[in-house]
Amino acid sequence: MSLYAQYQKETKTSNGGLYAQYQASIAPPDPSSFGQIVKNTVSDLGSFAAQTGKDIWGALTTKPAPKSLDMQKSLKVGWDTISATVQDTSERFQKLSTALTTPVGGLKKAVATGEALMGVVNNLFLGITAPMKAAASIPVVGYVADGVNNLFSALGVGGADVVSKAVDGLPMSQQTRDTIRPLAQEIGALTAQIAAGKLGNDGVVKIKAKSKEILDTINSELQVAKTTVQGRIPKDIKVSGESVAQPVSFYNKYQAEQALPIIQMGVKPKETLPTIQIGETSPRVAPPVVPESAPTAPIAPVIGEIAPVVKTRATQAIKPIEGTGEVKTRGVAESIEATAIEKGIVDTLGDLPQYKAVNFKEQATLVSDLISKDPEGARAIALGDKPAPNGVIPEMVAVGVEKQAIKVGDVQTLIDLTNSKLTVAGTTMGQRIAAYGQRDVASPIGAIQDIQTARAATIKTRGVDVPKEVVKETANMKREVVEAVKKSRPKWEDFIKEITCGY
Amino acid sequence: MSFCLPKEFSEKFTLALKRGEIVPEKLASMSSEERSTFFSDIVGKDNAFDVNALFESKLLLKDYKTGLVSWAKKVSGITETARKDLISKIERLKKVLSASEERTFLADLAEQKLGTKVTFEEATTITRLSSEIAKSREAIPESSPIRSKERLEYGVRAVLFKEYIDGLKGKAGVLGMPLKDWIKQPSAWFDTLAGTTKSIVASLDNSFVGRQGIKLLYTHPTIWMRAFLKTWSDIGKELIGIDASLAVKADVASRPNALNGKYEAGKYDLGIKSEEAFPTSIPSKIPILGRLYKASEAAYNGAALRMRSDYADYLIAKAEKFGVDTLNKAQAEGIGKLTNSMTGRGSGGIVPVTEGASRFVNIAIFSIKFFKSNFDTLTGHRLGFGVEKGVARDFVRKEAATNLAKIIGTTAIILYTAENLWPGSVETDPRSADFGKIKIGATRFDITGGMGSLVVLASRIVPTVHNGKLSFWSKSSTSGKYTDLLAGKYGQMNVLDVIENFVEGKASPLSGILRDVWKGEHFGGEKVTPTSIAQNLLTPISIQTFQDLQNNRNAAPLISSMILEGLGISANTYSPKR
Repeated sequence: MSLYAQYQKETKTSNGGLYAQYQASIAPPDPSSFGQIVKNTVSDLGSFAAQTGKDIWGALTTKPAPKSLDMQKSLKVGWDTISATVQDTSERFQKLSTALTTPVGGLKKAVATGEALMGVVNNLFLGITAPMKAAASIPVVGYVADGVNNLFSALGVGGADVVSKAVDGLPMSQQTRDTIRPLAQEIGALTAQIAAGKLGNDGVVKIKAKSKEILDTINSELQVAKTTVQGRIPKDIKVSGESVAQPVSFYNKYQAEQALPIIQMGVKPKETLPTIQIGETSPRVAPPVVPESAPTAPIAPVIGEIAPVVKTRATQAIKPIEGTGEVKTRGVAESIEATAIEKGIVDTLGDLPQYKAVNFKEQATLVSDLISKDPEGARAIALGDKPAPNGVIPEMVAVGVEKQAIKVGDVQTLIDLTNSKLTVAGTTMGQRIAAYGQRDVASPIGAIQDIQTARAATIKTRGVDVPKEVVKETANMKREVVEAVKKSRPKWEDFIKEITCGY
Repeated sequence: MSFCLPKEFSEKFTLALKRGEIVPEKLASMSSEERSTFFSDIVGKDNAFDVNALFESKLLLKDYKTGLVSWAKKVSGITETARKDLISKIERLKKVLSASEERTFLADLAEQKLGTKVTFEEATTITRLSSEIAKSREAIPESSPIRSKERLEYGVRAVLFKEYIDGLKGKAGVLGMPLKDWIKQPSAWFDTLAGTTKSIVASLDNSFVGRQGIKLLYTHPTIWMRAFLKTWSDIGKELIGIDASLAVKADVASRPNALNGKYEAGKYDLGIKSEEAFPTSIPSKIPILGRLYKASEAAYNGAALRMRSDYADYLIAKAEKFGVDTLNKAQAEGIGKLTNSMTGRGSGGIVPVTEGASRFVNIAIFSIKFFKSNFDTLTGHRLGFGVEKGVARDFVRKEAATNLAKIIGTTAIILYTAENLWPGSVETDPRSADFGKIKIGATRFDITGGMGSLVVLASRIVPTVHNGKLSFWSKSSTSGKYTDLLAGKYGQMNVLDVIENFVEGKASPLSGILRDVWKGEHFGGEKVTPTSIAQNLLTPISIQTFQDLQNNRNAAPLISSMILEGLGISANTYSPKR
């Protein structure tokens, strides 16, 4: 039942009844009622569970991809993964939308919400599974990629047991598997809860953090794998189309404008070694052009232009080619999230003549492009650590990053933004304030700042000198750190032994 | 692991460690670059970078976290949740921080320990609620009418979000702060006492409609009527225990002009917690009577918000046709001032803006904003000079003049009718306190919503002619005699006394008691006693009026007088002193 419906039906509740219900809804779930909720949910989740089981089985029994050095094939596999996941997410959201607008039971709504969030989770894993699928067809590294892919596919459908099996299947050392296992199991459990509609955005945030830890661990293992095969990989990998001078091979169209996290293949960066670029969106990509030398049919992204990019260092200097057909202005990432950011900003500008709405609309477009192309860079701009590109108002980037963070439930970014130099300075800057005016009334950053200011004022009335106390506590912390370092003195010799050659 | 340290360097390192050339604590306090440089002397330039990187990730980061966790475990005066939050933040550290990063990080931790920082859990909830609000806002179709399902869905969430944030600020609850803070702040006691007595005295009626809202009755009766009718359903809901204010606030928060930022740009007083007559909700905690109190508070606040928002919407549309940019703060604030004044909330001028001044005024004066709103209405916002120059000033001048003309015209018609119904009931000389009132027996009904008293004051403090003599004149409302305020007779009133009496009449219940104690008598000559003090502090105006009506043989009929008093048409009963 919607809040409005409750409000309308509320005739005999005690004073503030709706508020109490609302408060209850924001409180952590009562463990005692959890069992009952689960019990009631079982029947509705029956079909969902059956499908999930099928998915899990599929994930575990997927045969390793055939290994080859055809980068175009690799890319296609990656693209297919993205396309499928995006379409799946879109369907899930459509379901949620229908459930939320049609008078159905709360349980069904919860299921739909869970399914939609599962879409979000899968999108989250997309950045991992897509490049891994692409890498799956590369020798040696591909076997690791297969394992990672299976793991995250299992995580995507949820369930701690399945995840544990997927971890066992990883072609990695026992130590790495042991490190990953608890993290993966936790993600599995979280995913299952999300699927059941019991966890919201905060669950996604946790999953994101845990996934990052897993990837970090896997990356270390990958380095070992790379070292092992270093001697076996030819210095100059033939990539279809690369040798042709004109036209430039199709995959260059997907080349990132700015450097993104790269899995470097090889111990030291080699100019000609292939690298795997993790999920990147090509900004304004030309329509597919059939490269003369391409042995396979052109792969035309249908929905957008996000694609894992396989490139060589040597190709970095090559600019994306200009197409002749219809220019596609949005990538997949943009269509899902960046467009929403733009919409969020632009919607509030409909009748703002004095702010020259057209300029802000342009700003909104620039910002959404920036966020989808270079999320980390946009974050740095929003935090005031990096200047904004020419023509972009940094505060607009801050507002865009904030909206994006709200959308994906990235609490840490929101907290960081409250301390951003830009956010603080923004309140005193004349014209730039207009950009902050686009922030929603219920802006979490504004709210957090207000709360912190109010709390600081309250503490001051208690006679506490906050800056002085901060200095005092900082000194205490440093003292404790020094103590800890002193205590760890015996570990130093072990450390040196561990890093000594031949240990 | 791709890096390994050749044995010779490893031995050199161990030796340096044993000799005390490598002091762990000192290394910990160095920057990453400094450490690399330091290591290069021992393990060689080629290895220093890798050794330092491994040192940071394998030893230093762990020690750093251990030290901070140890600090977090030792700090006192925080809840276990806060402690967990601190530890969790420390555990999330992924790399050794640079000097500036460390400063920020440690300051953050310290502030979190002091309780000024929002915890991760709180931030998560805020983010989730905010996200839900954003979604419900997106779900509002552009053409959705006010108070539609979608709008109210959004409005309820927005209002409750604000309440949740207020709670986290520590401003929720009847005291407006946590009890432990309140106890430690004697100044807050006075605020609470002044606010509580004011709230009690203003309660048990539906007075907004006939007092603060009467200007809209005379100028925009349709807007007034809707709000007036709704006050009864608000009262009914509150009496049976339903929160009526949530729906009103949700309605206001979800209107198109709230969503497009026009309310905010014009500083319309629509997001306020409560009106100045009800600064606290402490009386609502009194068993049984508390519910009556809540009912009158809801009626008062509800009427104010409804009238203000309806009038704001009306004015915004009209002003835009006039060419005013209602999103331009400089222009919009003029429209906001006009709207607020027409609904009992004046601003600027004598209305304090600083916290300290507001606190003082709250304790000393009953309703300074209402007074200012009357002043602005009567002077047309100081002939428009109280509004930013430009098209907005032109618009406000025009609107204020029209409003004033309507108010004067309607009041004149009512007074004329009364005079014909009850000959002698209307005073036409503005130098008499009875001006603008209808006098039935010893009871005066103020149909001007307090504006009449300002006209009387102005008429007394400017030179006028009486019996051919130019002086400062005052006419007694009981005897009808004129007093030359410049005559200088012993014990007689002068112009300064007129002003002083006027200001004293605006005193809050708390400062009113002080005034009476200093004077040695209450208004009307009653002796000051502990009982009389308690009565004046805790008796709602409507009950005081009831007592006055009952105690005076010449008073107007009780029931009709009480109905009018309850609706804000002040009924003052007094006779000449014997």
